[in-house]
Amino acid sequence: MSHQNLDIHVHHVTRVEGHGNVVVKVRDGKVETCHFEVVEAPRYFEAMLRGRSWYEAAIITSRICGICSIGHQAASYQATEAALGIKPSEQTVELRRLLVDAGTISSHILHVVFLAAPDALGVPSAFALIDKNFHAVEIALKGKRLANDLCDYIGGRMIHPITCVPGGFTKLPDVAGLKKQKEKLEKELIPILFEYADIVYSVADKFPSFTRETEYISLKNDSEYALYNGYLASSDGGTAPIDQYLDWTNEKIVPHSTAKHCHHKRGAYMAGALARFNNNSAQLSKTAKQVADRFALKAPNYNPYMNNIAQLIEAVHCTETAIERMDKLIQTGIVPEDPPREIKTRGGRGVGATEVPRGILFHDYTYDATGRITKANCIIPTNENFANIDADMQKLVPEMIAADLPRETMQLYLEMLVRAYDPCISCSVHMVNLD
Amino acid sequence: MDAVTARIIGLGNRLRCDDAVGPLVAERLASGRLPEGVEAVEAGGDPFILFDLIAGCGKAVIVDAAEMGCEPGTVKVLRNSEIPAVFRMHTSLHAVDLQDVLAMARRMGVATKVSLVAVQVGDCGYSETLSPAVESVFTEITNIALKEAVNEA
Repeated sequence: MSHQNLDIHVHHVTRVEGHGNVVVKVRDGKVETCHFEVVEAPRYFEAMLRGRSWYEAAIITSRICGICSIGHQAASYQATEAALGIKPSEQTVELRRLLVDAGTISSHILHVVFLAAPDALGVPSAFALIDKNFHAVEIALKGKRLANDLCDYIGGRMIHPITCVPGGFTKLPDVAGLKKQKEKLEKELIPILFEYADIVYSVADKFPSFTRETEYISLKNDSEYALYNGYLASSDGGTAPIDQYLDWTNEKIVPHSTAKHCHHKRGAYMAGALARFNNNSAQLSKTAKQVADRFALKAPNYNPYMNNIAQLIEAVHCTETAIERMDKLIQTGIVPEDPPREIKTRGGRGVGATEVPRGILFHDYTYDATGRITKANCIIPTNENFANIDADMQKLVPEMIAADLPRETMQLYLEMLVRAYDPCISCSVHMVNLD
Repeated sequence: MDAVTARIIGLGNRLRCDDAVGPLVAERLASGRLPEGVEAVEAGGDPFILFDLIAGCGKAVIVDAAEMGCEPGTVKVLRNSEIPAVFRMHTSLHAVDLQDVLAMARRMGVATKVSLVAVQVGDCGYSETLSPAVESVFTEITNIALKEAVNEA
């Protein structure tokens, strides 16, 4: 074995949001250190929520993430509505689902094309993709723009939507506008995603064939592929209502990370597109299933690098589903509704959970009788995946050493592994550094 | 809708004290009457939304918090190639920074003129209000951004 002694220290893995390091130390053939360090400063959004009114919570939490602002709002409304007994109409829920679809498409295109694909295409950055495949970049930008336009139309902004409020929308779309959006998705976005599936398929063998079985946790919804809402489900068996999330996430502090780690039935679990695919693939749209078949991706799949492919499949699913939702809304027509401006409450606690691109996002608020938050907790999916990334690394490194891979290849595969989880590190950091 | 000839784009996080200066400037300008063809918008942390905002107009004026080693509240205006590659932004654009976005826009043949109104931060902690140093020059920053948009717009 040529790797009796090995040091890999990737100081800030690139093409992920935020700062994290891959650290591997092998001495005399023994792996002494092998983990992903999160070194971001902590964020204190929960503390900022205390004392804020029921109407402000979603506006504030939307700012936790510039990518997942729609998902944060969705989880936030659910938590507020559950706590205060506000029941949104079916139309409101359907429009929120449409927004979550659009946000998922946009984020998945960003990650698959610009952050993950450069590895498979042999270029160092999204920027370098322009020279390698100008057309691919052009259509990806167009695809993302189409999804963002839909966010803008329904939510009033491409990011940090302003029309969604607890209990409804301050401004509703109309049938003519929905028809335009639907037509754009049908005629422009679906072909783009097909073309992208071709491009990714041509380089799919560049993703390592590593496997490690783990527990996959996602939301599940009996009526559809769960994204906006659902109940908790584990690939190891068992389901639970979302308000039992603390028993499923079990956050703990670890010495090498400013972000907490999570575990459920095993030492780690995976959340995100592959977890959703493994738990709910039977509910994917027809075309999304065809894309999965093309990549021979079948549930359960234990290769974390396939999270990239699961994201591509979900982008197709969300596009088809968004078209169906808009069809339904066009047929039924948009019913004028006014969201509540005031509430009568005795206070209470509510939990919301939405599948954002990287996994399940939990918001948990306790309100007092004046409708102000007294306690808040947000668990971000990137946190849920950190322990699993470490566990993957601890299996992958000895396998790569045994295969006598060049050091550069080992480092690349480790970086690709972290990127495959599409981590949003800045969002995940919720504790002070204990050093 | 009238064509946008100049777009003022506010970058930053509204919950991070002086980092909010860009979004607040955009909000202030958007709430008033702007010259014809000029609009003011807040961009989030998605680099490709920023790309589209830059690409979709004749001139982009980006207002952002910056670390320039100056006194807090110092404002510098940089245009096109003056925006240096080593300029470090506070704004996190999800793994792709402002320089990458600008470089991509140039490489993709998007011939937008870009100005950067960079504001030296004093405090980027958790707060929904600007520090006194940046607050004291807020109106001036707003005027600079508007003037930059109108010039050659």
